[in-house]
Amino acid sequence: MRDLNRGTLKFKVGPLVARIGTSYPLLQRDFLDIYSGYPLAGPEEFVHFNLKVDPVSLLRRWFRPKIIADGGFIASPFVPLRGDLAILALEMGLNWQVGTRSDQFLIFHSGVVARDPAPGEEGSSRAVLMAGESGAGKSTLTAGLAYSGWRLFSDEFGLLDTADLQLYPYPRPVSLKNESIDVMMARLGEDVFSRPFLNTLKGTIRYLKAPAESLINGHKPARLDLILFPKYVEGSSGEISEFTGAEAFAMLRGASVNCDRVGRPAFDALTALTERCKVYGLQYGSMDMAIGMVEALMEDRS
Amino acid sequence: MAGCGHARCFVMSEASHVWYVPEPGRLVWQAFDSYSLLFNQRSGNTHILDPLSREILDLLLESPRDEDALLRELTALVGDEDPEALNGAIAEALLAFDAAGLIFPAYHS
Repeated sequence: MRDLNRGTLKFKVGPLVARIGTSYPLLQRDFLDIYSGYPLAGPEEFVHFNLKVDPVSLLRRWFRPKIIADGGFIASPFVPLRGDLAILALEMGLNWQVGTRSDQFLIFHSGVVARDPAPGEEGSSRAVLMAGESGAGKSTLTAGLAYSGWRLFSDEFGLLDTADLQLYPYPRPVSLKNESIDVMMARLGEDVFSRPFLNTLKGTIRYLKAPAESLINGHKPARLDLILFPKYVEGSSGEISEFTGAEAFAMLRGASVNCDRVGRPAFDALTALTERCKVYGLQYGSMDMAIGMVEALMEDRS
Repeated sequence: MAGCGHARCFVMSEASHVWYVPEPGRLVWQAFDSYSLLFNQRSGNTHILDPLSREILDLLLESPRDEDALLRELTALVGDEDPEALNGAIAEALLAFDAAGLIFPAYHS
């Protein structure tokens, strides 16, 4: 707590280290609630991001509190949020920094989970990347898979090393909204959730904590095998459509956040992934159905 | 470009542009099915080309050509059943290539 107060708390999520600071007690409590169990970085370790999240002024600390993230931006891309939503300011600040300052990776706006080999079994971990428009249900499906035997990589970012085409985990808490909260709470109970954050721009948000195994193995990359564009459709009986060739390339490129900045290595990686991976659109009507479909598609790739 | 009265500008009217591909060594190609992916290292942009567009760019890579020359070459290749449509497709492709910085009119060189 003292390090957090001083702005010297360095913690690791996958390959990235963030230094976080806040003097706002409610944010300190929310942060420690959803980030307990994450490894701390040593004093010698490189810090990728610095982020301070504090009230916009002394007055706004006490009177109708307003909180804003400061990541050393010349012009802040953020608007101040209500004091009770301070953790959202922190999460948005981290997301922004990953999306704009991590060009050592080709970044996909996607959920990612991986299947690890069974103990004693040879082979590498194999990942599924789930991309698609916001609200399509990829965070919910990522969360469902992460608590069904798959390792959580991220509900927000796929970090691809273009040199070896390995995906790196970035297992932050999963941001769930509105009906998705009820779906996952019915499966997992309340203990693995943050408190609810009400009346945000996206409705109600609760953060689902990353499973402990995902943090223990948070440094292990995986080979990307399967790319999905999931979409939750109420009442759907399940539908799979395959994308190939230039269409698959275009969809994958559309999911990339920074391919223009990464340049040639991104183009080479995207074409290699298009040739190597299967790319499917997946329409599902329930969590169990979706998990079964993903399991079956991965099994087909074995 | 419409003529402005100067002899040189009439020479540069739209129909008579000779187009060329600058720095072809900086274009990276990949083929998927009948489509071609093109990464232009000069702009950092990626383009997806259908077979006809690819053919037009290939001809310009081979040597600078104007629209009439492209029409002649492509007619020989695909036949002359609908020259108007072919002409339209060539004009459209040249416009798109120009906007993307993939081709330059020769007088800019």
